[in-house]
Amino acid sequence: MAETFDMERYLGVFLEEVEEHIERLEENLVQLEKSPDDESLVQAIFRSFHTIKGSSSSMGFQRMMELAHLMENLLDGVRKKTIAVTPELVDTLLRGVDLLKFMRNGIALEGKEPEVETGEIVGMLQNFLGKREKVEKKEVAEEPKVEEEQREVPREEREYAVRVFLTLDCSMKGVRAYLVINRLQESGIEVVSTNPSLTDLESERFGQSFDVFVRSELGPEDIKKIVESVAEVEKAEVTVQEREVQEEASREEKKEETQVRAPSQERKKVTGGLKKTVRVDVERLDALMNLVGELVIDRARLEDIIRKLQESREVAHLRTLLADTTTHIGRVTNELQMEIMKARMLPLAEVFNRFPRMVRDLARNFGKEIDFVVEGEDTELDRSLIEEITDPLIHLLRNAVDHGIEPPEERIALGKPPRGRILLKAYQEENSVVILVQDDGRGIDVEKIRKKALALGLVTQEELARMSDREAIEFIFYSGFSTNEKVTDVSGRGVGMDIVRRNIERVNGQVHVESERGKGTTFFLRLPLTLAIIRALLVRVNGAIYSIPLADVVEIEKIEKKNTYWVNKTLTSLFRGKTLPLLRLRDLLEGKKAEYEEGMEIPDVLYTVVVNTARVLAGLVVDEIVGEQEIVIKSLGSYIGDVRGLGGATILGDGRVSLIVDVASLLWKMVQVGG
Amino acid sequence: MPGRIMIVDDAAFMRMMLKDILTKNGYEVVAEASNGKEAVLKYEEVKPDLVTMDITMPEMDGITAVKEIKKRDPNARIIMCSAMGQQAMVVDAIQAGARDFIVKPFKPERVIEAVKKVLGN
Repeated sequence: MAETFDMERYLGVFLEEVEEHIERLEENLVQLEKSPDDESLVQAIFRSFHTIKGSSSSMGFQRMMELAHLMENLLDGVRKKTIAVTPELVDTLLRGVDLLKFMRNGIALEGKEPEVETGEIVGMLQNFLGKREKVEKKEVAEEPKVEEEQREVPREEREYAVRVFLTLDCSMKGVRAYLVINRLQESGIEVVSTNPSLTDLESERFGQSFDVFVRSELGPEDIKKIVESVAEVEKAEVTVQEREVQEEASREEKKEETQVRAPSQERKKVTGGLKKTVRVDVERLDALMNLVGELVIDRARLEDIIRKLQESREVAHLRTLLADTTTHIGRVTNELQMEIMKARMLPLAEVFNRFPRMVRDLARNFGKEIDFVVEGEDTELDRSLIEEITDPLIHLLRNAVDHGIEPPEERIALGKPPRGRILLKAYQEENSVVILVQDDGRGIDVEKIRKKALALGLVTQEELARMSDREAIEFIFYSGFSTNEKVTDVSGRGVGMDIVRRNIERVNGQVHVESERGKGTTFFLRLPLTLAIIRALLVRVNGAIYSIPLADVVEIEKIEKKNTYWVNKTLTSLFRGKTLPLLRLRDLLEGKKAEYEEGMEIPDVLYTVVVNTARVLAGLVVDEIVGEQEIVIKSLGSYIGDVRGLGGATILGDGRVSLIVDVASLLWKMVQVGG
Repeated sequence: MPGRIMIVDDAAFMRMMLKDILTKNGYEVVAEASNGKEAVLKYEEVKPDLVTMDITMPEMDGITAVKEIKKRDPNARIIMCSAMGQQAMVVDAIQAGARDFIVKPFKPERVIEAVKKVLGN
């Protein structure tokens, strides 16, 4: 038991490091293909292979070591310009990296190297090396250089356990320990781990001594001297860590120290001394967010009280007092809300980073030449949203490579540069984040879409004639809709765009598309910064107050009866030159037919909320517009489950419950009932 | 080799105490400063082998002073003089380049030990 536990400590560091290097390798190799002359890039790739080689050999993972070594040699050739950077080379190296990744994951799962056939890739890699050797043999003068290179390889590093004893009257032990670790790092010694953990050291949860595990080329005496050069260090004992000895030693330590050390908190690698960050459980953040939600509700309630107080005159003083307090609570809740939201945010780089590799591989698969540009990857988004948008983005990028960008010959024939360009860009716009996927390819053929929509019976000839191109393009988001004649491995199966839209709308986001024939296509994903709190329009329907997410609202209109028209026997109005069907929200919510029909009594004034979820523009007729407010979304709970048309509930300032209207699914229902 | 030392502290009492401890042990106090700004100016003037630096001071605090001095002389050797409970600030000072620290109330032997170790004698 103890043994495996202790191995895990080293294994953890190893796996983490290898994973980091693999990620970096993927990025850098893709980059290398574009800029083969970038020497610092070649160096970085070389170093990654070198590090993987070194650590896998000290962990005893022979095959991983050999593979990394082989690729390191290849990069050495690139460095010396005896091996040229070609797409084939990058391909093979990436396959090698895939194999490393496979091995790493196998080790993570089973603790040992997986049985995997490496022969093919090793052979391919060796082929490239073979080419180099031929070149080298011709240039004998090169040889001394090779020897120099070998001398650069670092001397044998050894691992040491350093036990540091502090003086009995030492004060600020935590900072003292930090200073010791800092001093070691300054002297170029790699600090692998500490016992007790860094966190415990920082908070002075240790006695008069602590252990630091280090890796260095220096001798034990040198290390002892460095540690003892710190004041209030009584003495340092340095022991060389042989693998077995190490396990033995830490097994014994474990017995005494299990109580002190929480294994999950152990920092795997000491990088920059004391870091002032805390890891927080997402659930705890959620709980905090909930509390903030309660505060937001309280604020609304206070505002409500003030409004009521405004009507009576005697309590002027109290009123001012209350107003002041409310303003203050408002400010505090806003700040708190922002802070907690920020704590939940992750940079989009988390997802974006894996795309260059994916786009490159796809491009090579389809025989396309593509420059893939990523912008704004440091834009931040709520972590739960980041998970939700990954699949839609993969889908859009695949589409762009497969359908968007034309093959090079076709592009040349069209007078376009042979290399296509795909841009993935994120930016913040007010309270939302916009992500766009843009290609400069052939664009969407609207005529084809019109024909297909008609063939599938999604529209009538008449309706289609009235539709603008922009509206017609939206059909691509219908399920079962695909204009691609050739079904390929990755796209054109008719599933996809509808799922993209559904995923994005599920998180209160919006998708829309702009396309110009021959020029390219851009997909815009607009996402809220957070899922938990949104701005909503409060409306009264049938005596109850409903919340409509402001993101779906285009405008609020007071439509007079004389400005309405009958089209196809249903009541409509004109909105920005377009026909606006008028629907009673009350009936929509109950799943009834919601259009006004001839013979019905039409009120003189129709309070209308104009909504648009890209598929449909509609006017929702309500009894009264109450106001606009920030609301906290609460789920309806598992008893009620998913109710079409409702996206949750919230509590209003006066304590009443208001249901949140899910416009997208409501209108989808309308299409069903109406059509 | 005993060294040339500059003492920085806004309290004259503290400076006096430190000076006593240091001179009794054969070190030479070549300058005194009562705030960070003064410390930076005097450092350039007298180029001491070592500086003892208080953290909380008017005009310019000790941490900023460490940064400023380090900018001008990356090899400057500085020991922070901290009060109890200033852990975070000491860490900041170390990150800024301070070599070591002593904690008030000072014990003469601890002061001398730190000075010796930092001067490498």
